[in-house]
Amino acid sequence: MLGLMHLLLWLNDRRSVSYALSVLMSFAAATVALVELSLLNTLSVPEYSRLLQWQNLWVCVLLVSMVWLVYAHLGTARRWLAATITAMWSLTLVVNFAYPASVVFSEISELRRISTFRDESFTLAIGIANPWKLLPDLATVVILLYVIDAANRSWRRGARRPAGLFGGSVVLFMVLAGIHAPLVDAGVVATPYMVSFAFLAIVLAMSYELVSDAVRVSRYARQIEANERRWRSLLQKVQLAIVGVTPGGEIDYVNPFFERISGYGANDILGRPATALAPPADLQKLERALQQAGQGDPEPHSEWTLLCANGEQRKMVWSSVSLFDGEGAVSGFLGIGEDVTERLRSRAELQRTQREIERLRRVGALGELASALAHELNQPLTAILSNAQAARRFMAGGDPDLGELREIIDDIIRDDKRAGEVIHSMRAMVRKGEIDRESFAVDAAIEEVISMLGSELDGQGITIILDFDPALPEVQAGRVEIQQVMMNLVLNAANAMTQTPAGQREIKIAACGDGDGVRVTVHDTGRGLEPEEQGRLFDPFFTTRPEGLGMGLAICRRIIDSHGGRIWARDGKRGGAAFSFTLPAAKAAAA
Amino acid sequence: MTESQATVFVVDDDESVRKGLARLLRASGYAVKTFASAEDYLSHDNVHEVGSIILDLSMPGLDGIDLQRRLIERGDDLPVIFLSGHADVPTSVKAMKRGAVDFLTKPLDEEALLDALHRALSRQRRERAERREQETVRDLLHILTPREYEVMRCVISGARNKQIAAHLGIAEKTVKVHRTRVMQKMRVRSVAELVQACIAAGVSPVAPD
Repeated sequence: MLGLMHLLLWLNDRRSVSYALSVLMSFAAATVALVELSLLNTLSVPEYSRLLQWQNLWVCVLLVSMVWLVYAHLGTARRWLAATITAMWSLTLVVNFAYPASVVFSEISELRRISTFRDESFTLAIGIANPWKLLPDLATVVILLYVIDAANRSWRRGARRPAGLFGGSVVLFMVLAGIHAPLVDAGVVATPYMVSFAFLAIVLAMSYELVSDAVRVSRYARQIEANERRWRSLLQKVQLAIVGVTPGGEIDYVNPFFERISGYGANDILGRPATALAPPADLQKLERALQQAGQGDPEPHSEWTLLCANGEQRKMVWSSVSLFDGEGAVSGFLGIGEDVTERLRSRAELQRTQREIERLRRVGALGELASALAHELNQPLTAILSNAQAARRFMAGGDPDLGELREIIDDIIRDDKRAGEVIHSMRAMVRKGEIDRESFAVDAAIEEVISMLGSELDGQGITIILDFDPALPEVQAGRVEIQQVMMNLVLNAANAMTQTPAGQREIKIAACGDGDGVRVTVHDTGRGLEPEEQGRLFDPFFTTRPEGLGMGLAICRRIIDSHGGRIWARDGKRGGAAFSFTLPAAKAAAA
Repeated sequence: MTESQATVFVVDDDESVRKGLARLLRASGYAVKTFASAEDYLSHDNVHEVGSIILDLSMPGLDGIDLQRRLIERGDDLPVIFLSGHADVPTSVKAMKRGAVDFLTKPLDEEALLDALHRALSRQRRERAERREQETVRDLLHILTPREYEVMRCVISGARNKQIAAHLGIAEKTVKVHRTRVMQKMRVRSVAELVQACIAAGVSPVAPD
């Protein structure tokens, strides 16, 4: 019955060697039981001998199949022991069929009928023990050791239930049968063999284990199925392209999203090399990603373009996952790709828009420049024209006041010069011209500027503090241009302090090394920078002073930019504002 | 020449421009006063001066347009000529609507300037004369009796004496007497002149039913 059940299980799941072995074992146990029953009722010596031989054959089948069942099911048994036992039993069978009275007896002298209490009797053979009988006895001991060893190792690994059931039942019943049978054989006790009971018990115990295993397996199967459903629906619906690749680099899975964006059907692409997915330009990147994943150390993040079926290229960001089999070897990997084509495209569009805005802003600045220029030139021109026309009228009246005329001419000259300056500063702003670069010491150049401005600064009650690094390298720059920058910055600083109490007006000028160059900072104690000013300070015509043209800092920036330096402003640490610029050192510039 | 008694007020933040314009205007026979800002101008009381204002449009603080508004608010009747660095159409339209005489672009030509000044001064003269006439009529109105005033309003509506008499419930003869007195007191010789004076003084006619 049990045999049939296992047969069914085995048919259901042919991969399971356990079920096949247990079918065989159950069948052998049943046969042993039947033969044993016949033995008890046999009255002729030849028949008894023959039955004994056959019984030994089935005992052998039973034990050997049990040994391999333990091996297959527990997975902790030693293979060489199982093989040894199999060999011992095979030898035993040869001996068994070589002797007329099996491996048990050399010769059966008589069959004794023994009565039991309840009017029942059974046959017991008396004879000379076969010396070969040692072999199966030894094999039995080896089986015991083999099972104990396997169960012990299985127990230690945590598989306590199968270990206990297999190990316990086998040991218990083998000990019982193994002790009892030799005693019967040796004629010490006069009872029938009860080997089959022991075997049946073992078979029952093992069957229970296997059946409960089967139940557990089907529960796992349900869980796995639920898990798999979850994963499958994730793979089906996720908006990420997922590609499975074998260790050999062949595509073995693609999800629907991949099919949709790539235009490849699963049937077209499965089995093809993964390298077919990248355009030649990105092939190297893909190969590197595949190689890394193949070593079990996938790149968490790689970017390569997906070459679609219609030749379109989609920008993708990939992360890879290596898959491992039970032994820890890489069994394949998954590439999970996000399609960033649209995102990149919109980013590029945004940048284009920004460039356009910047262009318009510059055009706007040009318009502002023109209007500011017009204003700045109109004032002196208006004055000049009015003065000239006034002079003409004075002279037309006859006997002109020469003193008045001289004043008029002086004013005309002054206004004309002023107009010239406006145009000059404009040219300095717009000029792309060559600057005569020379190697010079910034500190000396700055000191010159300060002495030029000295009387003006003194007049405003401004203290100048110079803080120059003694090891300052020389710079390669246009000396006059840099002095112009310094002059602008110092005059701006002075202008920013008109509201500062007289005793606190201070301009600190520091110069120090900065990487490969020099950094100069002009720090005032004035009103500081308004947050909304910061971004526009260096724009042309941005000014906070009514009389300012708004060109000073714009010119400074142009000069510093053309030297490959940087100029910036921030609120000073001690209040006020700090303007800094950098210039490359002479050697660095020459290199 | 009346214009030689006129004063030109120049308001511009640029000293050179102020100086140059002042010289030119003086050479052209005007008295000149200069101001560096709108605020500076407002601190002086020039209301009853004869003359004109030459006003720079863009100045720090109050700009030209702001100053023009203030002048209107305080009843300053000096005509305004705007100067601007560039022709800004919306601003100039606004300025002209508020009664500016002209909107000149810098650098400005002396003829355009003097022409604008000339127009400004004659406009001021005209306006002041009109105002004076209006004030005279108002003074005359005060010496009318209430009855004469009522009769006058009916007369300027073009009503006949008979209608007026019926309307006011008095004898036609009495209306005739009032009417003569009105003509005398208002110093007019015809009904047409009376109507003109009443319009200038803002007296509305009353038509009898």
